[in-house]
Parts: sequence; C-alpha cells; structure tokens
Amino acid sequence: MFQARKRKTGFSLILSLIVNAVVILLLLGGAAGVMYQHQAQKKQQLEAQPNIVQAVAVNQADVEKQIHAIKAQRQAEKQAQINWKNQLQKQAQQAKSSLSQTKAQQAQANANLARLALLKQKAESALNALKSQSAALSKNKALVEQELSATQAQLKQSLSQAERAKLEAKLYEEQAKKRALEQQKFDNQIAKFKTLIENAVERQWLLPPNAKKTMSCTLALTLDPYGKVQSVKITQSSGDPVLDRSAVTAVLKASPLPVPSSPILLKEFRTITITLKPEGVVGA
Amino acid sequence: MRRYWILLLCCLPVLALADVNLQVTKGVHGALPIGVEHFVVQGSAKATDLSSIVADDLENSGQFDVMRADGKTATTDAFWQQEKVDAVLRGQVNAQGNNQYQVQYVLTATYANPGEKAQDNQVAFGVDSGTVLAEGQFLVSQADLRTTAHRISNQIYQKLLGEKGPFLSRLAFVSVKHLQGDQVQFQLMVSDYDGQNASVVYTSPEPILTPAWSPGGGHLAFVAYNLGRSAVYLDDLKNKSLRVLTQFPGVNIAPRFSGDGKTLYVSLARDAGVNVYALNLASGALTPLTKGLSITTSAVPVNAQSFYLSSTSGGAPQVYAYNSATRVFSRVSFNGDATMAPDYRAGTLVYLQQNGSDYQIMRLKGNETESVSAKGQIFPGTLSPNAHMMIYGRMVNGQRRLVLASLNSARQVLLPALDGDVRYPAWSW
Repeated sequence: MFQARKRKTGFSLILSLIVNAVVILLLLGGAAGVMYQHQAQKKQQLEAQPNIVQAVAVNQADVEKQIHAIKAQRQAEKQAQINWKNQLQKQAQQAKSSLSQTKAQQAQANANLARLALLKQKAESALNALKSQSAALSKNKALVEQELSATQAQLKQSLSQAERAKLEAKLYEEQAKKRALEQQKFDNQIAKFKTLIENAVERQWLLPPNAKKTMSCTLALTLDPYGKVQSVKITQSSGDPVLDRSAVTAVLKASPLPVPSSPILLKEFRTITITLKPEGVVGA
Repeated sequence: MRRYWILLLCCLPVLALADVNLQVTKGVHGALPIGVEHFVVQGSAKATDLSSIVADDLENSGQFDVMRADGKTATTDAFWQQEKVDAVLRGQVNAQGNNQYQVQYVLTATYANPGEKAQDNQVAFGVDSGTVLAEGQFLVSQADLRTTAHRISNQIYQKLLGEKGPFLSRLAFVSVKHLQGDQVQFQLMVSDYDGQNASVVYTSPEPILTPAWSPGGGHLAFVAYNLGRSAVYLDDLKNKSLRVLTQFPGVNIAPRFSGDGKTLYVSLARDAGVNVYALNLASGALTPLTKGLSITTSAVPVNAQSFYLSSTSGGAPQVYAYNSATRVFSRVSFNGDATMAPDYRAGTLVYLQQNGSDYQIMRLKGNETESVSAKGQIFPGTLSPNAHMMIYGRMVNGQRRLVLASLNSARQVLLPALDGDVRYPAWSW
C-alpha cells in the first residue's frame, strides 16, 4: 500500500514537472517568436530605405508627406516598439512571475521531493527493518521448520525403533514369561520344600517355658543330599542358651529334613538358614 | 544395555536362591523328653536309688517326659534317639566306706550337633564330651543321698529349662493324729517337697493352722491355739527357737511373709470385723491394711501394696485383688458360690472355689481361669516357688492327703500317707 501511494506521488510529481516545463517552453517560444518578427520587420524596413532616398529627390511635398508618413510610421513604429517593449516587459514579467511561480512550485516540488525522499527513506528504513525482521522471521521459520522436520524424522525413526523394540520386547516378554513360569515352578517347588522343612522343625521345636516372643535364634545348616543335618551353627544367638539349644535340638530331631530329590532343586537345600522365633504354638 | 538385562534375567534362577532362608515361628508346648538311666551302684547294695528320685522329680514338675531305663545302663545314643528323647541322664554311686558316697552324673544331649562333635575327649560313661550338657560330682553321706538326687534334678532343670529347679524346696503342713479316745494331736511338720524326710517342728493338743514360710525358708510362722486362744508364732528353724508374734483377743490368723521377709501380714479381730494388718517384725508395729465389719483374711502379698485376699464383704467369701494404697477391692472370679484361700506366686494365682458341696482348686494366669484339681473334697494349697507346681489337700478314703500337682501337665501325685490327716500345706520359696 505504501508502495502504491509512493508510486502515485511520484507520478504526479513528474506530471507537474512536465507541465511546468511545457509552460516554460511555450513562454520562451512565444518570446522568441515575437523577437524574430520584430527583427524581420526591421530588416524589411532597412531594405525599403533606398526607395525613400530616391523619393526625396523627387518631391518635397511628397517628401514631406513621406517624412510625415515616415515620422508617423516611425512614431507608430516607436509606439509599436514601446508597446512591444511593454508587451515584452509584461511578458518577461509574466514569464518572470511564472518562473518564480514555477520556481516556488519547483521549490515546493523540491520540498515535496525532499519530504518524499525522507518519507521514502523512512519507508525504506522501515521497509528495511521489516525486511530484516521478516528475514529474521523467515530464518527462524526455516530453523523451526528444520527442527520440526528433524524432530519428525527423529520421531519417525524412534517410532520405527519403538516398533522394533516393541517386537523385541514382545519376544523377550514371551521368553521372560516362559522363564518366569519356569522360575515360578522352581520357586513353587522351593517354597513347598521350605514349608515342609519349616513344619518338620515346628513339630519338633519344644518351646522352653521362658521363651519370649521377642527372642530369635538363627541357625545355619548344612544338609546331605538326603536332608540329613550334617552341621548346625548358631549364627545369631537369642541370648538365651536354653532357647538356642531348643532350636538346635529341634533341627537335629527333625533330621533328615524333607528335601527335594531333583538335583537342581536339591542344590538349593545344601546350606539353609533357619530363624526360629517362639511367636506361637503349633495348632493354637 | 537391554541385552545385559536379558542376560541377567537368564541368570536369575541361579542367582536368586543362593541361600534358602526359613522362618519357624511356632513350636510345641509340652514336656521335654528325657531318658534316665539307672545309676550304677558300686560297693553298696542298700544305696538309695538316686536315678528314680531324679526321674520322679523331673516327672513331678510336669515339664519332663521321663523315659526310665531301669536296669539298663550305658544304653546307646542310638537307642535314646530312637526314643526321641532330647537328653539322657547317666550316673553312678560309689560307696567309699565310712558312710561316704561319691555321686557322679552326666547329662548329655541325644541330638548332638555332628558339626561340633569333639573327637578325642571322652569322659565317664563312654560319653562324647561334645554332647555334655551338665555334669557333677558329689561326696555325701547316706542321709544326704536323697538331697543329692534333688540337687541333680535342680541342675538338670536349670540346664534344660533355664529356670531354678524347685526340688530342694520344702513343705510345711499340719498333721492331725487321732489318738486313743477323743484325743487329737496336732503336729507342725516340714518335709522335702515330695513329702519325704518329714520331721515334726511343733506339737500341740490344740489346733495348729496355716504355716507360712519366710523367704528363703529359714522361718515358719503359724497359728496355734493355746487354751482356746489363737496366737501367731514364729519358729526359727535353724536355731530351733519359737516366739509369739501376736496374741490379741479374738482371732490371730493367716500369717504371710512379705517378699523381703521383714513384714508379716496377719488377720486380726481387733475391731468389729476381721481385718488384715501388717506387722513389722523388727519393730512390732502393727498397721491395718483393711478396715471393715466383714471377715477379711488370707492376705497374700503380690508386692508392698497389692494383695490377694478373701473377704466376706459381698456376702459369701470371695477372693479379691486389693490395693492397700487406694483401698480398692476388685473381685477375681464370679464363678461358683464362693472363692477362698488364695495363693500367689510368679504371676500365678490359685484359689479354692466352692460349688455347693464341691470344692476345686482354680488357677488364674493372665486372664485365663482353669481348674487345677478335680472337683470334690479338695482343700486349699500353695504354689511351688516357680508356680509350675502346687500342693493341695484332698480327701482320700476318709483321710486328708496331700496332692502334688503339676500346673503344666495332668500329673498329680499323692504324697505318702502319714499317720492321720494332713492339712494346710505350705510350699517354701
């Protein structure tokens, strides 16, 4: 929009310049025409003079008449000249005023021009600022776009990776499930025999009369493949020798302890730790 | 990274169960199985059978399941393991002449820890020293053989149960002998806890009632009538001296020593009713603990302020817990027609409960009440020092006898009959 206005202003400026120039030219042309006509008349007059000299000799009256006429003519010519001069002056004045007018106009135009130039400059600087802004923006935009595309690319990549990972995970999960199932089976068997041993020891554990619920005795056992206790070690005494011995006796009395026959499971029961706490009574 | 994880997962079954941990939180209550072999006697045919005394002691406590190998000696560990006993007692008695006997015993664990078995350290009786739980050697006279057996019992008890054995404690009681005609002789007697070694402390043609032991068993306080008047006596057993503590008009009954032995609680009828007083044994100062018109007696101290006693304040006699500081009575039981004769030891209360013409010894431990004796003609009794046993009276074939009862098992042993009725058994502490 700014450009359009600027263009319009420029056009009118040029138009006014042209008009002024034409006016000036016309004025100058008019003046030149007048001058030329006057010169031409003077020349005619100068060419006609021999005729006049010839005529003096001929007739005084005529001469006089002639002189008169010439005088009159000269008068007229003088008048004409004065008129013309006046006219010329007038014209010159007119031209002058027109010139000054034009000059003023030109000054105005110049001022306008300057203003316009200023405006233009301003506009240009604004434009430049805008341009630089827009450049920055576009640069940013480019960057953002770049980033976006990079992210998209990454996303795509990671998506594909995720899919792969998902697949892998699924596979692993299945394997893990299988393994967990096996582990579960294993654990179940271990738990089963743990409970069996615990029950076997419980049944043999004669609680001393002074056993307190806060007491606790931990034993480390080594077993042979048939569950027979090969050694008992008190790893953490209850502080009460009677309770400690009752615990050791219980374990030894329960020997051979129920252990699994499967070698893999049995391996877990070669060394076991039993913590005995007199918290309750079997069957109570 | 993921792969390592998977690898780890693969290793899990191996890694996760490096050691099996077990938790045993329950056990069984019951008697500890113990084998008692016959003590070999050398040099004397008449020596007391110590092994059977020990076996009886352990059995009487109700805390041992005794297997006697009478006539058998040096029985193998394998035999005792088969019998599932935890420990075996072996011993021997050697007559040394001059009424001197050497007594030796060894208590071994049947279930020896194979990991701790000592190799070349054999002691007497062919026993592996790695399994020895207790052993002892005594040089005693014939008269002390029985006591030696009780001492061995105590050592076994202490070793296997972690508590002081009660087998050297004593009983005091009153025997009532019916003489010719209508004559009656009252005897204050003391004996071993099992009724053996009985001896007379005080004799009277008039009634003797409720003996009470001082802590440690050095003194006996008891009630005796003299010309129809009751008095509380204190008998110094060691110095064999006797003195009267209270002899107020009316009744002077139910003496009981405080835990420190410095105070004797007695029931006196100084005012309208019968009330409990604290008698300072050093100064003789008498302080009333209860006040009222009813008959309040049989005070048993729990501590300096708490007592169990029997009172008729609610009509029929009932056992109450009584606080002498706050003077608050709280009834112990709401069963039966009447409750009376409380005894308290080591957190356990026993009392006699009457239901019509039936009497029964009841025990209150914590909040649980259970019967200790059968119903019938039952007479009051007292608890052993550790409250695992008690002694009470029971009519057997028209004769009042003493019953030694385990509070841990159903074991009830009738003590040897004496000449006459036996009343007011008191267990030393």
